[in-house]
Amino acid sequence: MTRAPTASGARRCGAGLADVAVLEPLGPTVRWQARERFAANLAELPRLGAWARSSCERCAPSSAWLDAIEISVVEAASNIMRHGFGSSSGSNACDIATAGGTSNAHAALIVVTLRCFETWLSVDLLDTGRPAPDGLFSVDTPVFGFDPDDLANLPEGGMGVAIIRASVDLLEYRRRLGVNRLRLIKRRG
Amino acid sequence: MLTEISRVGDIAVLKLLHARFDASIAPKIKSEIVALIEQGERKLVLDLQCVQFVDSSGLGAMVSIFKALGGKGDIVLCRVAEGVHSMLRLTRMDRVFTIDDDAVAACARLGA
Repeated sequence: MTRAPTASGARRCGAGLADVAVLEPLGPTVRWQARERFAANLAELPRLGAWARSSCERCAPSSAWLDAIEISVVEAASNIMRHGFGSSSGSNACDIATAGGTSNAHAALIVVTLRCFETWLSVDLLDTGRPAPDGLFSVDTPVFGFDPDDLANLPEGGMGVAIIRASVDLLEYRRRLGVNRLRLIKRRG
Repeated sequence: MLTEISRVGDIAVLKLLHARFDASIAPKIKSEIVALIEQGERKLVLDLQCVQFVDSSGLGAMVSIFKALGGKGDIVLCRVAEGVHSMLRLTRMDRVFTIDDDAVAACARLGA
């Protein structure tokens, strides 16, 4: 594992996926932290997005930054709900829990933690749904490469990860002991 | 109710009534509007005045609606909030959809 200081004072290390770097702060200087649980059900998506946005307003350098945080959190949660737990509009958490490989309806949750540091914000989304497919968060994920004049081949889906990548500075996924953690990091200013 | 429908000649003006056009409602909105297309609507104005947030599912629904016209009709977006416009630019969907300031301009573009 190689370590080198960054301009922000944090260390960059090679832990996690080979193509993803993880910033670890040199010291525990969390300005504030917020945590909330959401049922892994698409009906919760509006509340989740509104909560993320309102929580981050206190440290947002701009409305565009806030937009980026909101969309990345919503896209990440939406992916977890739909692919990790098999949720669709109208389905409920009890059905989802079984699809996610758990037998406890109360386990069909997404726990979102926001931590504001001096120069960045980190967002952790934890869930016990199905693992993300290998390579889903690869840096080679194609981004919006469609031809706008080719109506038949315009994408009707599959843009979520590309939107997340375009909205945050770092993205890390790991799964340990049946728990998925997706970490998003965005610099402040 | 997800949309409010009004008419200007042969143009259907569809005003989305939810502030968040996301995965929780995008499939239902798509179904509603595609049903109108299957009933013969060919010129659509999508009024997004109430919409403050669109995710990839909302974008996908708009693309599906556009595709449902099958090249035999047209759709114009209007009253798009800045945050939504940023999302369209980020995903290059601003090159797919025509965007006007208001429904009057959008209807004029479609030949009202």
